[in-house]
Amino acid sequence: MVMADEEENGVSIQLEFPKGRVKKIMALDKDVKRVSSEALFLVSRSTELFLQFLAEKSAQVAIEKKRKTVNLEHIRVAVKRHQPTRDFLLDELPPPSQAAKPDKPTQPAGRPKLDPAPRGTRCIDQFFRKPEPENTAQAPGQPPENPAQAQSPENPDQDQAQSPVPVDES
Amino acid sequence: METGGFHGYRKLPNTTSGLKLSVSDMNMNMRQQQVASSDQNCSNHSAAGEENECTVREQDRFMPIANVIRIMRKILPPHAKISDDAKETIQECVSEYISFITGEANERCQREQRKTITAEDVLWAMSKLGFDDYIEPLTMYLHRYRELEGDRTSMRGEPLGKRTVEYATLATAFVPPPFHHHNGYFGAAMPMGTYVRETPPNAASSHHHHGISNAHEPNARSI
Repeated sequence: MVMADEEENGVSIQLEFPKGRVKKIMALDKDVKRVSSEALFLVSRSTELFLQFLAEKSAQVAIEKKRKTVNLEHIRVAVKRHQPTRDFLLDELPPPSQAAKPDKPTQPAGRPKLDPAPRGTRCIDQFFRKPEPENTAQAPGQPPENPAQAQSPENPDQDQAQSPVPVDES
Repeated sequence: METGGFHGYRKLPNTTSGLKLSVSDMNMNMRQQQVASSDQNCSNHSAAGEENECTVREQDRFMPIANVIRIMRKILPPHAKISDDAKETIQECVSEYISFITGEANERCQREQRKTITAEDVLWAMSKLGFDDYIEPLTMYLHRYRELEGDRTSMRGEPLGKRTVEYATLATAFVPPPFHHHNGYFGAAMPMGTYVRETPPNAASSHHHHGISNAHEPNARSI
């Protein structure tokens, strides 16, 4: 997978995403102290790959449904089909009832539904436990540190998007 | 350790909707970010760390939607359209991904009692979280990045002992060129005003140029 034009232009590591913004998003987690320039570069590039993946899969779903417009439901199906993405994203997507109005012009519901707290270490633990009880491959190193949330009901679909309570450590 | 340290970031009221973002709005946002970056430099001087205590606005929590749409367009069929709610959801998915990878990489970093997240931490995090397919292309990109790093270091004439992003160091060591540099690193950073003390008045035009040059860059599918 070599981009010939990239090499010709001598910008083989040209980034599409502004690193400053990636840096700010990474820094939303207050536990993050410092990030090397190489790590920042890798996260930026990895995010591009992830976005390409999401776009490709969503487009496939839209084509399967014979649609020319990619909408929220297509993204949801694409996310569900990829286990690693599903693990951390499915609960973050707007509930399916919103998908019934994909072209809602004002204030899409997706944004208000977003948890106030960015995904920190403990929140990731929650995602591992909620959808599947047997998600062992990725959670072993993280003991549950928030019993109240660990005991919240395990509903893999709509309720997850609405039930998360903002994490408040104070 | 983690219990005391972790603080969830409170989401600011949604003052700006993704639907309202336009080129002029993004330019305004970039200028505001330059001011915010100055604040960050000040706080970094005192805190000697990368903790971001400045107020983070709503739009700073997501990738710029123009970048997101541009990358998606390269993947989607030519006639495809994207609904507005899909665009906004994709923005949020991308931010979630960054936070997800960062949290995992940072956990490994702290477990080994280091303070700087390294490239190896990021690669390890992706492997652990199931994004193994990304490791090979990213390793290749990292090698190229390191080669370019060597060139840029000699170009700057001041090698950085640690490859760490520190605003203060970069602010003092680097004087922004008036035009868009062909080097992707500075070209990507300069329009955001994050790594330079001051951005030239033609930041907007630089950004546009950057966008135009990117438009001609073909995109290999890695998945």
